[in-house]
Amino acid sequence: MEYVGFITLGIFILAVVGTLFKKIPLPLQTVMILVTIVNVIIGGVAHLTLHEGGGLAAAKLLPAKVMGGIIIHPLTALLAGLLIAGALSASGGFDAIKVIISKLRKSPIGMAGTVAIIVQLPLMSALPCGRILAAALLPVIFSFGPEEMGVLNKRQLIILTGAYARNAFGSCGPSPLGGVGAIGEGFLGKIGYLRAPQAFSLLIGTALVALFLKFLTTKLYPDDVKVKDESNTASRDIKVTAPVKGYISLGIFVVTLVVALFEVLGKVPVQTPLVLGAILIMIVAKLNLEDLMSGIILMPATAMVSGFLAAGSLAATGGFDALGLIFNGVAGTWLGTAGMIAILVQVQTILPLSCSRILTAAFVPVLYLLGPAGTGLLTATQLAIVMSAYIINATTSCGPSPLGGGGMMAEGAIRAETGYLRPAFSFASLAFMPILAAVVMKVMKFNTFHEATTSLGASLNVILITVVLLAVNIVLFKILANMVTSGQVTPRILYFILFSIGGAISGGMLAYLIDMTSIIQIVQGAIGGVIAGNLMVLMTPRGQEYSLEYEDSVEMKA
Amino acid sequence: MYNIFTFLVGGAISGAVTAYAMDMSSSKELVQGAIGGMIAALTIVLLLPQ
Repeated sequence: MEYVGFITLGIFILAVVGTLFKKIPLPLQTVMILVTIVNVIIGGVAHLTLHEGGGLAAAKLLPAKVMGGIIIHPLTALLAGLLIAGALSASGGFDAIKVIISKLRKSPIGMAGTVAIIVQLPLMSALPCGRILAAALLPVIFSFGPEEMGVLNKRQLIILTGAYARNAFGSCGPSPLGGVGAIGEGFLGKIGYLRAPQAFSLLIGTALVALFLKFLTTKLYPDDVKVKDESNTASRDIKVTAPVKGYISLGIFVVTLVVALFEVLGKVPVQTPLVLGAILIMIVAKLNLEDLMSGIILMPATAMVSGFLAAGSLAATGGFDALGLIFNGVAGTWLGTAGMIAILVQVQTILPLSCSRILTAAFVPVLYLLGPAGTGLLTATQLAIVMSAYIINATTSCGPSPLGGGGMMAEGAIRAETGYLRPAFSFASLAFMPILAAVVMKVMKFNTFHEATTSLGASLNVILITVVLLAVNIVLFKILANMVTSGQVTPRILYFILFSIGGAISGGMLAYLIDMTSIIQIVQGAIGGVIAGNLMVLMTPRGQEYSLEYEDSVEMKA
Repeated sequence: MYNIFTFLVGGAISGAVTAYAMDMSSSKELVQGAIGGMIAALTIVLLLPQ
């Protein structure tokens, strides 16, 4: 059956790439369903024709195995989040948030402090799916823009939305309520082990995405967002009001989040308090079922199901086993273990699916078997550091996914072209967040779990590396933005350069952090990172179509 | 304790950088952004396993 896995994996990758490059003129969900059907047929034929394949009984089991790949939790979490978001919307809860934020921005922390809190709200609430708060608050964020309150101009609105989305579509990682990181923690044997590295890297990674959007995206593609850009964007001081029931429903929403987060009701799924909260709001605000259902968005839900089905077909036919063999093979080449690791930690951003849980569930066992329990390529310490880098990259991969990923919600909210925010999301996941997660794991977490006291020196090391990385990225963004505006490179070439440098830094630093400190190993890691970075750009087809018109756009804005 | 310190400083950096990215780059706005980031970071770190 081994080669069948390579065939089904090949079909899946071709379908994803074909869809990304618009060579397959079908909706993404349809493509994933077709891949599932083709893979199941191939797997069934293989079972029937190969002696060791299990015969008819195994072939009959294939559809059930595929259906077993559907992970219900994020799907129902999304629906529950959308349900309570619908209730909030119908009862005036969003209007209440607008009023509170309007007052907050007039407080001593001003608008600057307010946006700094807003972009971190998903991480602060720590829900298991970023779509829940994204669905609830993206409309509120949009209301700050020039078309409603006029507190922010178009450019600021894009940056705020992008940064918020980055935070939201990574917040599922460190969530204690069935977060993605728990998959890795389960294998490492320490629940909560990966949360601090993920949370810290996302805290800072959100700011990096804002910088990327400021220096590159909004300059390169200023007209790809169809939001009216009125010249007078100073606050119009519109009198924002909200009904009393809006405040009550908002209060119920906050209490619901606290109940879900601190497990006040005991060990119940997060969906339970969310649905109870929605029902309570429904009663208090005298809403009907239609009001709640209006908040349900089918697109991300169907994309997630089709993604799970496709991944399930790969798991059932040995596609992921084939992938494991490929990575072990790569470690035996001139790229070495360091180069292979540099690629492996980026694989979910290279192939971003609608929900990171799809590939995480398959890849974490592959990664775990590189440690002492398997091939022994990595020590336990190295494995934990690599796992922390892998998990933050994985959990943030639904952001740039064109297959119904979370980022599409943000792009839809600001009426941007699909893929507009993707380079910013991918770059942060490639060059910044995995390094920070690995640094925190290496410098701080190990001290904690080895029962030594974390020191001021360890904290200062983490802070110093954070500042240096941010500074390097700002310089890089500025240099490359200048190269594009002066006509030296096209945006497409810019992304190849940027992702190559980012990948090299990421891969080289990761190799160093896992004590592969010889020059050869660091170079191998850097080359692996360059390969990963270039694969990400190759999987991002936009750019070519804009390369001829961006200069006009920039000049018009200037 | 040092986890909290690290996150507070990280939050301040993140908040100030976010404010800067959004063209709020006066000293007052950067400080406001830093304070907002610290408030967010404190909430985040308190929810982590200590």
